[in-house]
Amino acid sequence: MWISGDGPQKRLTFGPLVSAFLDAGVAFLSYDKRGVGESDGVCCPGDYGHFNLLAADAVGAVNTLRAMPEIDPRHVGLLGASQAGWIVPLAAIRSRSVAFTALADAPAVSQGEELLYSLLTGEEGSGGGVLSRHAISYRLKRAGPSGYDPRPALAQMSVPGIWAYGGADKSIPADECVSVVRGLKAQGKDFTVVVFPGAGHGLLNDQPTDPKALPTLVQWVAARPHS
Amino acid sequence: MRKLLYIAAGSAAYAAVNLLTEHLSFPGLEVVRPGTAVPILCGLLFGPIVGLGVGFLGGTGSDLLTYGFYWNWSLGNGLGGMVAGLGPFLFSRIRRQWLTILAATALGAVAIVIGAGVAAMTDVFVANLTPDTAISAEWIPLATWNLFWGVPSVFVMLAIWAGVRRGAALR
Repeated sequence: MWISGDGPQKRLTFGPLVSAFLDAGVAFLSYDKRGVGESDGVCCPGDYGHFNLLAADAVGAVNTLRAMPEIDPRHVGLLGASQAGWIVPLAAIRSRSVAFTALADAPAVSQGEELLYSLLTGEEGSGGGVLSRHAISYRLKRAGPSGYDPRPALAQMSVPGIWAYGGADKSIPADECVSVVRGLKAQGKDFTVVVFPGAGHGLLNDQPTDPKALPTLVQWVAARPHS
Repeated sequence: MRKLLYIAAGSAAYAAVNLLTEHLSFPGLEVVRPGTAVPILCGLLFGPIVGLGVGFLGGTGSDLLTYGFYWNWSLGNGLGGMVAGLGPFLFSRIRRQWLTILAATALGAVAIVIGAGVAAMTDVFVANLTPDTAISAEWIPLATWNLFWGVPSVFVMLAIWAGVRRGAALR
């Protein structure tokens, strides 16, 4: 089940992402985001920090997929990128039917930390871009979390998950996200983190920032236990 | 000489508390920062020079051992302590102890907000942020966490300090 990132995203058309999963024998569902294309509602609550509706949409889509006769209802997982990092953990703890989660470029820190990071790296286009990575980490630590923070939802997750990051991502603070996920892994969660050094934001784009990212996620998903 | 000793001891205490709590977090509470209260208390109790010195040197000490030296953030720490140090001058005529503690805590809150503001707003020049993003992405979250930890800590420590002094006076 594909969970879209920010902005008015329509369902995915057939492309490298979808075909990679289909080729591995994994069914793939994506849907027009709330308020986009053929979906009702107003887009895009996630862009204003409201993720409950988007998580509810994901849970509804999981239930729909599980009802299909061709699908093994015990092995439905959530896959997403970027803003999906704030939606997928919520959906995973609210639905008892999610078997795993797989995320790329996905924040495991709060909205405020992600925003400050992208401002300081210059990704937002309104200044920034002059500090070292160390100096940016210092400011993230001092400012602390603000806005929606996924850490409590991540701490409640009980299903396996994988997070893939680009080491040179200017939008998502990969080092801090890796630290959060590894901290939870150290507490016994079945979490996996993969970092692609030098890669920027967009690991699953049609023109990926690292071509090894998609095969890595597909391999991990395909290796989930099957009956 | 006495002020130098206060600055040295306060700086060491500030740096030590910061380092001890740097990596602490609890479920639902990601920031643990009781050290915020140290330069504020030092300023309130020993005056603006001590507050400034403890904030600047103590903050610099713990930063150097973790992330590095960021002069404008150390300056913010120091100026917070210095503003709190105006307390002894402002509240000298207040006779009721509890009122003094409340007023000092309120001044400590103002000092925390000003210190955070100095750190954040100088990032307009240091980090090339715009003023509005420095306010929304740095000043507000930084001041919020510092107030959350600093205000109750300052209040409790001042109450304990007052109790200790009263006890000593009775003996």
